[in-house]
Amino acid sequence: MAKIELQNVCYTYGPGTPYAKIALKDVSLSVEAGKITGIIGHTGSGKSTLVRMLNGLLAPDSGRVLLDGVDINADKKALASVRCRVGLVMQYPEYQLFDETVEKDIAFGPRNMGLSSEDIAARVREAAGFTGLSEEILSKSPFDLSGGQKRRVAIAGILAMKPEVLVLDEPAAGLDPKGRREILGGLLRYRDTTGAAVVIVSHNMEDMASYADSIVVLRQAQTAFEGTPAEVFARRGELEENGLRVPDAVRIADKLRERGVPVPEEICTVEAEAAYLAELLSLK
Amino acid sequence: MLKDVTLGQYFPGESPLHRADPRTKVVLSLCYIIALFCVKSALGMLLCALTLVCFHAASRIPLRTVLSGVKPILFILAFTFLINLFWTRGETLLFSWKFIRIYREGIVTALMMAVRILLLVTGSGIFLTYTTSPIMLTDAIEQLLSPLKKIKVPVHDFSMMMTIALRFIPTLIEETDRIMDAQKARGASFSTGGLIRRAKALIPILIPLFVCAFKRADDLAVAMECRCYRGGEGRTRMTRLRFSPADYLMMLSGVLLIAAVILLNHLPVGIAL
Ligand SMILES: Nc1ncnc2c1ncn2[C@@H]1O[C@H](COP(=O)(O)OP(=O)(O)O)[C@@H](O)[C@H]1O
Ligand SMILES: [Mg+2]
Repeated sequence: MAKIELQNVCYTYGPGTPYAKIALKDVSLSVEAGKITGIIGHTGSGKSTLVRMLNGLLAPDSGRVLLDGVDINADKKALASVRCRVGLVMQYPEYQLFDETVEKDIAFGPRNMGLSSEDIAARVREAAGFTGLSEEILSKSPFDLSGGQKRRVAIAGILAMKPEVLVLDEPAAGLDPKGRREILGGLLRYRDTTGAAVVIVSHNMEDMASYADSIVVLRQAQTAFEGTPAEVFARRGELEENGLRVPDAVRIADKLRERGVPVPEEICTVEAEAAYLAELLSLK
Repeated sequence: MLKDVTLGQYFPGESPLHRADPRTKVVLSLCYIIALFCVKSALGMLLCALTLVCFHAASRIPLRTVLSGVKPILFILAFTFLINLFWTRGETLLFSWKFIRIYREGIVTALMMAVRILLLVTGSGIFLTYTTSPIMLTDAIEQLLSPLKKIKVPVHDFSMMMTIALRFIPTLIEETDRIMDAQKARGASFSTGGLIRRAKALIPILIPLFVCAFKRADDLAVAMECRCYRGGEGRTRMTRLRFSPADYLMMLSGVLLIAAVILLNHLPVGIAL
């Protein structure tokens, strides 16, 4: 059974006003535990609205959001516990830091869950481990950190709650390639140790190709299509019509196929492509 | 949600009143307020009301919008009405029961007061807030007050501050919504617990909000300096305000209204109250 599921969800901002804007139209989505689901789409296609549905920050106008088969909006009082089980890292989360030290800030979530102080300390250490924050940084003020470090602190603040579903809205936007890889690597390790379901919104197709198990493409408030990275990136024309790129590796593979090199369709990362070509060349 | 709070009530449109010079509208509102406070006759009040009805028709603002602006002052309206009704002493006693005495004068004063407040609120809405964007309004105020620059009042700086503050109100509201959502996602709750707990729950919102606001102010200052902003001295404008014949006509109608009201106060046809 799917860990978390959207069933025919619709949402409109400012209904009944001249500014009404349909943000989601009949969107369905199902995410398995232990899998990474990527969401891509043009700016304004409804990605951020969709992730706000997943932890009940927004309730759908129609349709249902099911966590382990239970409608999360059926009981408004249970929403607080839903938000501890579905961790949401919002876009540009570094602006939500507030406490004196990084350690206390990361502990904010677990404290709200009412855990014991030993428990909290252990979770903070563990979350800092996943995001690569050193002991020295933990005692600093979050306002003295660099942008990339703040981002890690914000992500650690959610990881410390040990959510069963981890949702991230553009977690690596605006970071350098090294910082991006480290953050995404940390998320991968979190998934491997806890078996959590992970949903990542991203504009970076290379990241999607390497990390996602399946990808959903949103177009103008609707699901355009979905599938494994290879299936999605094979529909290059449709993606480009939607203002989205395909990874460089896929473009190179297309060019190679045009010239008669039989690169398999499922190759969409640079690493896989390099390995394939190296093997091909060594056979000759 | 915070979004539902209407702050700037500007109602975009293309009516003659929208197009009028904002200075005209400030002057017109002032005339209207003065007229309302001079009124001492029934006919004068009727004239004020009719003027407003005409301008409302010209503004093409839905009546519902105008009336919804009255809602917040309904309590004050009722309160003034009752106070005037029971506390005005006069000559013609109409009703008396225990310590309550109602005079004819009381009813008249109470009605006049209520109508006056009603016209004042809807009037300033139609003449100014609904039909003039806040930025235009600060522009107009700056120009109208510019003679004060001669006596070293920093008019330009004040209006720049006002413009910036108005410009960033929606941004701050949006930011607050976003930060609240982010902290809710971390299990924070803003609507449970006692007073102290609720006040404490605001800390995770207020600190990031202030940090962002200061950072934004800093960025803005740098950006303005990069574009050589040095205050009002010798500054010219891209869009200059110009009075059109319609503007003069409108201001004239404001002055005429005051004159008519004062005249009616002293004429027997005005039905003095
Ligand atoms: N708070 C809001 N009020 C009104 N409209 C909004 C709000 N948030 C988003 N929208 C609109 O809804 C649409 C989808 O937005 P969003 O989900 O943020 O898209 P994305 O994250 O894919 O860029 C956009 O057209 C946006 O303008
Ligand atoms: Mg977004």
